[in-house]
Amino acid sequence: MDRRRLLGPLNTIIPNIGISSNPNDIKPDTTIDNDEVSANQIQNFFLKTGIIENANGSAYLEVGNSIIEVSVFGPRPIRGSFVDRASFSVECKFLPYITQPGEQIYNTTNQFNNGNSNTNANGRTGLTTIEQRISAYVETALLPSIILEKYPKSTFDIFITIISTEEGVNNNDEDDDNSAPNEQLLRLTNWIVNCSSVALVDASVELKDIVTSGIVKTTSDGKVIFDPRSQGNEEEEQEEGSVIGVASFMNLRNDELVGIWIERQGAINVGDTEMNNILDGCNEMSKKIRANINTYLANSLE
Amino acid sequence: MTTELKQVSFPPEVLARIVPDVSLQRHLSIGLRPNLRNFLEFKPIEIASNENNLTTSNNNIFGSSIIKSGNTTVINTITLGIVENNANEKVEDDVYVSIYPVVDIQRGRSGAPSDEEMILSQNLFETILHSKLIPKKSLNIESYGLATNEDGDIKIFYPNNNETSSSSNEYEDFESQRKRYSFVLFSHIKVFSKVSTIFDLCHVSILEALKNVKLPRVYMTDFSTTKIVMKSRNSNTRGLVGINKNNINIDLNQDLYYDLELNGDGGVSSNFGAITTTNRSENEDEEPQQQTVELLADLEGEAEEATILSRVSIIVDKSERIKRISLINGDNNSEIGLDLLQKAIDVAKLRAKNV
Amino acid sequence: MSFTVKTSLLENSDGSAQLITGDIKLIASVSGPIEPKPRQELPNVASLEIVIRPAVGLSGTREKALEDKLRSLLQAVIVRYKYPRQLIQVVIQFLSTPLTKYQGGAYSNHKDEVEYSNIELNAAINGCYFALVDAGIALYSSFASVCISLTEDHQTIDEEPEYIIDPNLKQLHKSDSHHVICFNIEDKKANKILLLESLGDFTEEQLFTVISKAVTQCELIHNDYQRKYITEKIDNDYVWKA
Repeated sequence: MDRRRLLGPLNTIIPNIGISSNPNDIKPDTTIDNDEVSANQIQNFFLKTGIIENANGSAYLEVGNSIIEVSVFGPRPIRGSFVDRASFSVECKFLPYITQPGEQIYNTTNQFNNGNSNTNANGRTGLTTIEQRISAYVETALLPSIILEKYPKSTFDIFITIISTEEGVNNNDEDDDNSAPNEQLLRLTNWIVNCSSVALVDASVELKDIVTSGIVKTTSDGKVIFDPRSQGNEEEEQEEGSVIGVASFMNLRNDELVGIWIERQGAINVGDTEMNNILDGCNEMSKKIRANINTYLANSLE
Repeated sequence: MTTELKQVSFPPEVLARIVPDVSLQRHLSIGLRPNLRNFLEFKPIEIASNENNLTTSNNNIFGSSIIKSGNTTVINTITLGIVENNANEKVEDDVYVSIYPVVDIQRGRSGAPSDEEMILSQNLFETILHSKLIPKKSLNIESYGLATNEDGDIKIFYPNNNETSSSSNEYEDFESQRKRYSFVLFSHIKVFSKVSTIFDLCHVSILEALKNVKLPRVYMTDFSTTKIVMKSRNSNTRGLVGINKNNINIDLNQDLYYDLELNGDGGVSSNFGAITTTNRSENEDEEPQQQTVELLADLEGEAEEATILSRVSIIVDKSERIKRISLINGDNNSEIGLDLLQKAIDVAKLRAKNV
Repeated sequence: MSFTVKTSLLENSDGSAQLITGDIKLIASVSGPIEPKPRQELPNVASLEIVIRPAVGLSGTREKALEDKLRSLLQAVIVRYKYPRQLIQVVIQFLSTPLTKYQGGAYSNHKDEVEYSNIELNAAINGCYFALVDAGIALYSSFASVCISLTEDHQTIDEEPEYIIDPNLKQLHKSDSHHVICFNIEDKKANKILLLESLGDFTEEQLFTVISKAVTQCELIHNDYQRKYITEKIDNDYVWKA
């Protein structure tokens, strides 16, 4: 029983999101015309910094339907005894009711499974499994870039809010399962890392380099797809042996690898060739994003 | 030996931090506020409630609004719950309910809601309740459908739908023992970049979101467990997993959605503060300095928030009816008397008409 | 309007008062000036800690909002600069309210779902006054609070609305608006508005009528109850002096 939030009468039932009684209701076509998506082209994104006044730094990123907001708080003093370097934490949260990519797979074990659960999402306190996974990856990837020794007895906290995601609520329609949750999760994570890096720059935190990421998918027949987009294509998604990977780099420090997250489709091992393809592809993509970010930052200085 | 005391001077922003009261007085003496607004000028509010895709892209959101004022952004999403009505309770015309808001201010801390968030939520709840905006009747679920599962083919029947004659008997059985239900409205209010008091902004955001709430039809399933498709993380096999759920479902048929009927426009919330200013006469010889109590609209910024303790918040609707006044005279020297209260109400009325 | 007041009933606090008014019964306790926790300490004035506990269950958002309103009032009436770096703790424990079905943050699904927390604020303010005087805390002036509800006759438009002083829950349900007004009292006269909380649906004209009615009521409370009580207290406290 939550006494700090107004969650309605005690006997409130949260209804299930059911199906539509209208036989003509077809889910909007999310299939992307393959002609428009030429290989090796990165999806357009919108980036803006410094929109949050009460944070030390912030960045806002829109890509497709996804909206990501990152606020950096720090350096802030910590309580207690002296430590010679700063501590660093990342908390990624989706707005309640926003569909989390892959929540049907990862979030079923806890009570926070929004959309399916009968608890009011307004009262959610902790992080979901997906939020924890994203937070952990972002923390791992950004940690090496911050010069923590410069900030003794301080803390940096990054708060990431996901305002919107690609997919709406995955209703429990059994036929409606052609989304590729892993791919969406990794895509989102990729953009979160890029956005968070820019927010760190906006906060004037001393960095070794700006971390950028790329995402690449390899198929079983050896095809390498840069910045794969949910194509809603049943055959391609089900294909045994496809591997999706996000990798983050510090491009100006000899392409130092700071984070990698790989999800594979089907019960196969990721071979050396695939691994190399993914790392090379991600590196290439991260450089393109880095170039974009550099231009943005240079322009914002003027 | 004498030590010469050097005069220290601070840039304006430093002065505002050290002595906010002095900084505020300096500004007011030249007829401006620290935020460069006029005394009775409000900060503009941008409303983007109709053209946001939160409602369209999320099946569980039934109303939403995005409000911007300066850098402050308020994102409000309205979701639904359902409560069972008391068996022999008849919903009367003059019964009004409220919305259950949870305010979440981005402030770089995680954990339980702060006192500020709790107080805001509670005040919003009571304000909406007593302004008699949401008639209980409009949340009443008049009738609901029944879903039948024939070999995995789910069909929903509604009592007023003539095409379902084939199964009307089945429905009638259902009708005789039915329970009565009403919707409950929940609002999640996320606030980014808060720089001043945000009651007014949250109030607008709730009203705007309420105005575009569309209520769905609901249906019952007689099969108590629903199967959902599960895909294992490690393999491509799919399995059906039964999960325990209640049997009330929302019909996503947008053609059946209907508007939430509201009583009145809910009003516009304005806030004011009173501060004593000393008018320095330009002629040095002229004696007593005149002290007047000035009314400032829409307080903003550190200097105003810290210094001005006599405040009033007023909600007036378009027909000049007042919905809420919350006044506190916290500063014994700068009192909001009846004349200033009158003035504040007049300004609030004018603003309500023009917004 | 009727008050039943009993003071100094808690032995371990510096001042306390039990107040019964209408359907509400509460105990207010004041401890102070006492040593604050380091984070509460203010260098030039006394800090205030306000705790409101409901009659049933644990405190929730509702009590937090009440505490907030009471705090902003007490900050204006207590002479805080007399107690720098000290703490004044005010605890209001409700013993019974007309809303006892309310349970710790949640509202039961009942026809009487409508909440009137302001009538509790009204009682808390009046209870606080006696407890603060009992504790001997310096005040700028006396203060008294009154609740007035207003019911319009919707059939006849021109008719004067009905003003009810100190309404009970049933009258509140029928009302169109309700107002809690706290005046400061100097030289037996209600002088200025310290706090005003109005909710409902009302006109400006009605508001000013309510305020003028509140002046009379607050003076009545002061002259009939507060003065009487203070005189008694002084007589009892200085019983050996004569």
